Amino acid sequence: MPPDPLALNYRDSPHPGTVPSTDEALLAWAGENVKVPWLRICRCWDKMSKGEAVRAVEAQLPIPLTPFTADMRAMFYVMRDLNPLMTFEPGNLFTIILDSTGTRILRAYMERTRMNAYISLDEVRLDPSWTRRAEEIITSGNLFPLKELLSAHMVRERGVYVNWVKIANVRFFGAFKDALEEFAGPGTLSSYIAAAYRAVREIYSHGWIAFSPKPKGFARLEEIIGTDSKGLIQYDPSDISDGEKDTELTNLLNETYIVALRGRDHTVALRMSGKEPFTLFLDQDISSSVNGIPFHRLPRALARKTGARTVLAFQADAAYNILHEYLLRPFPYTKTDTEIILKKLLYMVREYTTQWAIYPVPIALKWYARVGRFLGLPYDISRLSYWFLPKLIVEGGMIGLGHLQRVLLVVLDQDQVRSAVVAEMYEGGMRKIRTFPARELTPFFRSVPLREGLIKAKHHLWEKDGWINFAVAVQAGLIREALKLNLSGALSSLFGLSRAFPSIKRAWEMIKKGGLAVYPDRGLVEVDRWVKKTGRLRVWFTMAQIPFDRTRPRRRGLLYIRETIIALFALGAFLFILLGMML
Amino acid sequence: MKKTTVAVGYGEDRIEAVYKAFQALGGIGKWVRPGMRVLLKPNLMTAMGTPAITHIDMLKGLAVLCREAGAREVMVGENPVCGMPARKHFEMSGYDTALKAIGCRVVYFDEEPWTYKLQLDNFCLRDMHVPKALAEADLWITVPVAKTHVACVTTLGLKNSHGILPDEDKARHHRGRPHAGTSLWEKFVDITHACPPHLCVTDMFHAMEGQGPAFGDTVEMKLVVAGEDVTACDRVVEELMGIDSLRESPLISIAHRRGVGMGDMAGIEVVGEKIENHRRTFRRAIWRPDENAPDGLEMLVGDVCYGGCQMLISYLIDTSRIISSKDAREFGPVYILCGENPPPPPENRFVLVYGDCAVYSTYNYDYRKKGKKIGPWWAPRPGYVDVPGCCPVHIAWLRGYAKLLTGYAPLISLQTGVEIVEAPEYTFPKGVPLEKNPRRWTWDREFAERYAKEIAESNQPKYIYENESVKGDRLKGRNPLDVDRLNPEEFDHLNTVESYGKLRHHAA
Repeated sequence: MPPDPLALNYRDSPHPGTVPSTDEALLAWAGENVKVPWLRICRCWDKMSKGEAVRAVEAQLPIPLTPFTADMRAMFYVMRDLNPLMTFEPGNLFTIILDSTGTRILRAYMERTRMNAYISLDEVRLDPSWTRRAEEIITSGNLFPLKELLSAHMVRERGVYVNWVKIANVRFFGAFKDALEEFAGPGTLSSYIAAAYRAVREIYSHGWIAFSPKPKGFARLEEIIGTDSKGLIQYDPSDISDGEKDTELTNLLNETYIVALRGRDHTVALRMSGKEPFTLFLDQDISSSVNGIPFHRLPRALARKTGARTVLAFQADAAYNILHEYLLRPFPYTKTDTEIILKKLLYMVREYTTQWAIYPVPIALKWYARVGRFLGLPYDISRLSYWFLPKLIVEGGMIGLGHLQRVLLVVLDQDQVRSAVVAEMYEGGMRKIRTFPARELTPFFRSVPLREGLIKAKHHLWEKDGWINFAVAVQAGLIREALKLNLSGALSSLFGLSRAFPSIKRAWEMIKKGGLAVYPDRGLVEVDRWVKKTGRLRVWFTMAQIPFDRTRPRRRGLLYIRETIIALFALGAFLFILLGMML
Repeated sequence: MKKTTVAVGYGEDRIEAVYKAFQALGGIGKWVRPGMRVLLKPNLMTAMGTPAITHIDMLKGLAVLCREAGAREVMVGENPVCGMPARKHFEMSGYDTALKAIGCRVVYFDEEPWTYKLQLDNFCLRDMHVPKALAEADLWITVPVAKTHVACVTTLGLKNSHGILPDEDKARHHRGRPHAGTSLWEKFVDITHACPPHLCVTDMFHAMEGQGPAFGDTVEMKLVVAGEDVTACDRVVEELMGIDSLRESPLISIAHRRGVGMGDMAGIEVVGEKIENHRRTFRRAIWRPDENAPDGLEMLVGDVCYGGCQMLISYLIDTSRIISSKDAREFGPVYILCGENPPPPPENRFVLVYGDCAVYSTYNYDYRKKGKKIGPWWAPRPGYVDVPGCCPVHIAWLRGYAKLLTGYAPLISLQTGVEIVEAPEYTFPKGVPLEKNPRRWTWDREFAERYAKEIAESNQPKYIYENESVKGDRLKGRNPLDVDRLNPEEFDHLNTVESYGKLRHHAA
């Protein structure tokens, strides 16, 4: 039986009279804003997992701790496929809520799964037989025995095995409560992202959330992003949001963009838009109505039904397969791991129209982009050399930058540094991403050319955090122009491209005036010299053959045969024109 | 017997490890006195990152220590791989601005004047040139990085000394025919014998195992090894790498035998970290390129010496390993002939003939006489390319490879881009004949072809060694026994092409 939210009442605390009133207030807020919506979601997924029909009105529910609503029927499919990757299978979860001191258990819940989706949220009686021992374990900091203790208790009490345990301090809810209050003012998506980012940072810095065992998806993300004092978690999103406002870009971001996933028996559409209503998934009735449409026509069909600006569709199996590789390989990735992940990724890119599709179709994927093949340019996305490029990228990077590479990326708005991030790679695999306070680097860029500022900033970070192999500085304006070019659809038609010419010119001017700087740049200068000396056309023709496979193996000299044919054609055309002019 | 002291420092970063190593040695003040000019000589073999080159934090740590001890000036200098200007290496790695930022003077050895040095009791390199900055420095410290090496097992302090020579001297004795008085291994010891560093500080924080010295894998050791005897330092590093030096390592055993430092652990006192706590077994570099060739490269190897063609071919293989797989799949194999009397190639086209031995010993092979033409119908060319030299210095081999495959294997033909790191504009010291200038072979195609043709048609090689150097202008008609003490009777059998540097100050 699904639990009835209206019948729920908070039990009395096991520590009467000692729980601060602020904790009680937060518990009450969480009960109303987290527990009740989550129960409704569980009820919906319970029905779905039993194969029962769920009406659209029942399925449109708010997602707890966010301003988003979503069609829970769509989310059920995502949960069904993703939950085993991100957490455990089965994923029965025991949740403990601690008081603000982090020593006493205030509430405990058992969340059961069916088909990997959560179907129930049952409150667990705080029996001293387990709470005392559990509190001891939590206080000790070694959470390892906790799962077995709770599992034994729950098997005895309800016949349910616990797969993982989540421990949240009641102030976890306080952080999100503050974030939602902060969002309520401006009510924009960017304000929520900034507020939620700060909430997560606060939660990690105080250790208000813990898992035992830690779900592999979370663990992997934490390892890459880093939750320590220099991890990406320390990044201040207000640095970006304080930047110059661009109305054109804001309008573009307020449009609707859809990412669709086509499974064996369903289609799910993730909706993204910068303006209200913040609906995370499309109405599943719309998504289901395109189930019968062939995959390569899916983006167009969805765009027509929803008026979305761009629709990107993936075969769910292929997308999850890559995610699976990404999450399950031990971290930090070795050279081989990185190569395999890249191979799978590039193979998916190569399989355009079978594993992914897009609408509107960019010029690069249209039929006339392949006309260049007649002139010897081997461009064809379906012949992308997925087996060769990863090796070239990984080993080439290792040869060029060394086995331990630290790359600095600085984004500036005029002479104000907006973000400074260092990506650390080891033996060809990503190790971690670190962030540095943007304001600390700003003085280096004042009143000096970008390149000089970059060198100074690089040396400053060398002193502070170790050697930086390569540094890139880019003006935010350039990124904005690039974003606009992509989002405006200019790259999807020759007409659009011609209309976007001012934007391209603006970006080019920005680059020429030093909107982009790299250091050390001597290698690039030498490459440029060599290209000019060798002949741009020849080098680019040769380079164009690197990413694509040729389909005529072991036929030596074919390059010259083709050139001969082209030359003969050109000669014929020239003679024909000459003859025409003479006549 | 007084033992040589070598310190092993451990740290969470290189600077800490350097501090600890010198703390164990009693402080750098034992060597660096106030007012001294100190020269640091790192290993920046090529424009690659760690662990192929010495990490800049090593130089930073040492520079700080020297300053604390009162050094007047700290210089950092290097002359990296043959034909590649030092300035480009420093600039490509960003070391130039970084070193200047910490107050060091960067010395590009190949842009400095050279000082002539004579060492008559050396095995083969009896005269050489050293940078003026090194000769003038009060103290010079070699700062190698610990790596495995295809020709020398390891490349450490003894091998790092090669970077103090100009290219003309580097090209000499770059081969392994000890019976003929020419040996790369002996040459490295010769350099150290003639110009010993005052201190050796080895970067072993990240070391390299496997296909060193450029394409191996990283091993994190977090160690720095320091001492004043470079041979002893190398011996301790090899102990940490799990190498039995006196049995396996040619440089240390030669140096020990010749008395250029202590190579026996019985004569070395290790202070600081204990070797047993950090010892690892490093994978050695594979010495036989014919057993390690990737798809698309068929190695046909005859009698080949160490240190020359075989070593450079292993570089060619490692450089091409990434890109040859694609070209091989689309265009088929390329045959590389190397050494004296190599097996004939199964096809008479796409043949790269590598080194003087292979060029002259295959002059009557079918690929030359009945070889198929390749290239476009309007400009056919022979299906083989000769890469002359003993050994072919610089990266002439890459150019030859690119030339052979132009129009066929697009990626490999892009290797003409080696000139990105070359120095065609480089000016040479006065007095070096252009023909003896190893760098010329790389960009003067006409010269290289004429040279190769001469060798190929001669059947027997021209004895440049005999005609021009030892018995010729080098001694100005004097008795070679005065200089070359070793096996003078073997001079008649020498079959090497030498390229000598200037000899204007030969000892009277």
